[in-house]
Amino acid sequence: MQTTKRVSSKQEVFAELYDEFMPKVFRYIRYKVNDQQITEDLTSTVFEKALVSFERYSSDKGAFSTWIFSITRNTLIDYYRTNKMRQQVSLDEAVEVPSREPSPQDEAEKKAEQECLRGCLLRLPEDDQEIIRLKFAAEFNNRQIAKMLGLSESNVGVRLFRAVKKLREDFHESWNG
Amino acid sequence: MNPGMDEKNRKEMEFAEHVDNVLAGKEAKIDEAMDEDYRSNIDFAKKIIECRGEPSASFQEGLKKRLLSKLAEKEVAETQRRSESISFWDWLKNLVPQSPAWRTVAVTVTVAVLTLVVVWRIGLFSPGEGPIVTGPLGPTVSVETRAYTVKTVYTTGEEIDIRFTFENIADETFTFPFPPEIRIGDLGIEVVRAFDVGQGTMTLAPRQPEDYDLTWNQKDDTGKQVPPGDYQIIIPNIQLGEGKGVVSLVDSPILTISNNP
Repeated sequence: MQTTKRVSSKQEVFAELYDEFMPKVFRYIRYKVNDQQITEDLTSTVFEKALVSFERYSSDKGAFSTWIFSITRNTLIDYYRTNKMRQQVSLDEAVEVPSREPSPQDEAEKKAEQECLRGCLLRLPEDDQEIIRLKFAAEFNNRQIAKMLGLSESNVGVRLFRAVKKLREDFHESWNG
Repeated sequence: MNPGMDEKNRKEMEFAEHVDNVLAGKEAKIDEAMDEDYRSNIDFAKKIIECRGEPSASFQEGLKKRLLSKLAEKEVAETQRRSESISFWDWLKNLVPQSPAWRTVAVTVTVAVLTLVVVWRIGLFSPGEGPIVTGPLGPTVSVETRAYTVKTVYTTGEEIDIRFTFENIADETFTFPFPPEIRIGDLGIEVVRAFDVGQGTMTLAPRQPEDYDLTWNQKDDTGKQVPPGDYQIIIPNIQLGEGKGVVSLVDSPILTISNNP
């Protein structure tokens, strides 16, 4: 006789949403926090909070993406409020751009390059950082970003282009020294 | 309209579409007419994507397992609560007589009692008191704030940890200045300590709760210890926009500061 394990629909729904959004939330936080372990802790906090109020979440009242990223942004605000020193350290790290030492290992160089890029990203104005995080980490389309930031869709496109250009120029200047 | 400016804007808007394609794993087909600046940005977008941090598989699976197990526990507790509640209704149902005649009597008596209670509450039995005048309704509360402390009596000099919970009870997302202005006042509403409004903002999706912790060291705004007595926590209402209601403190304890340990 074939037996099937019954999973409640609420658990199924939560698991599906988790699979879709957890990597996005993680990447969003990782762009902001220069530490893998802290990123994991904050991602856990976001989903623990989401779980607590999941009962009250209803898709009729707004997209899950908007809801989960509201929780994510507030969790980051809380984190920086209670860890002011850490924010300082993080910003200091951001300013300290690794020098381009010739390395025999491509992997090491790539890692240094990525660290440099993350540092440059943290030096951008907060508005530019946010639009880059929402596009590249959360993978929102322009309409979703426009709704979240209260901008027009075309304005999102223009601001994204300019933010990436600014980041590119700063990165090239830092990396090529 | 400046055609050069139009072209520039079009280019900048198309860029986001190209990025969406790259994020979706598609090849970004770049128009040959696009300039070097545009091409460089597309190449750089790929670099930004490469630099995204990825969660490890063990973290991803471990967290999922933990969350689903918590959700399952919550569901079991909820089912238990519901079954207890159903038992209560069954018990109540048994109180109602099964015979149609007695059932009619029971319903009639219940309705009569309820009517009397309502009539009594609206004051029809107190002709001397005149009509009830209702005051103007307060603003709609869209975000409820509650303050909690672990106890209500503190000795002089003891730090007082206050937890605030903000819960969006409306059906739309709100953003408001955060942390809000928080005042500690005596019962005569004289403010002894004011914590200024913060530089940040808080965004709350519908039904989303958030916490904020604050410690008051019992000092007033000049840095002096406040005298023993009763104090209250005050958060002025924050307007959320035309017709959107307010953030309002709906519950908070009275704090007593005493010389006696």
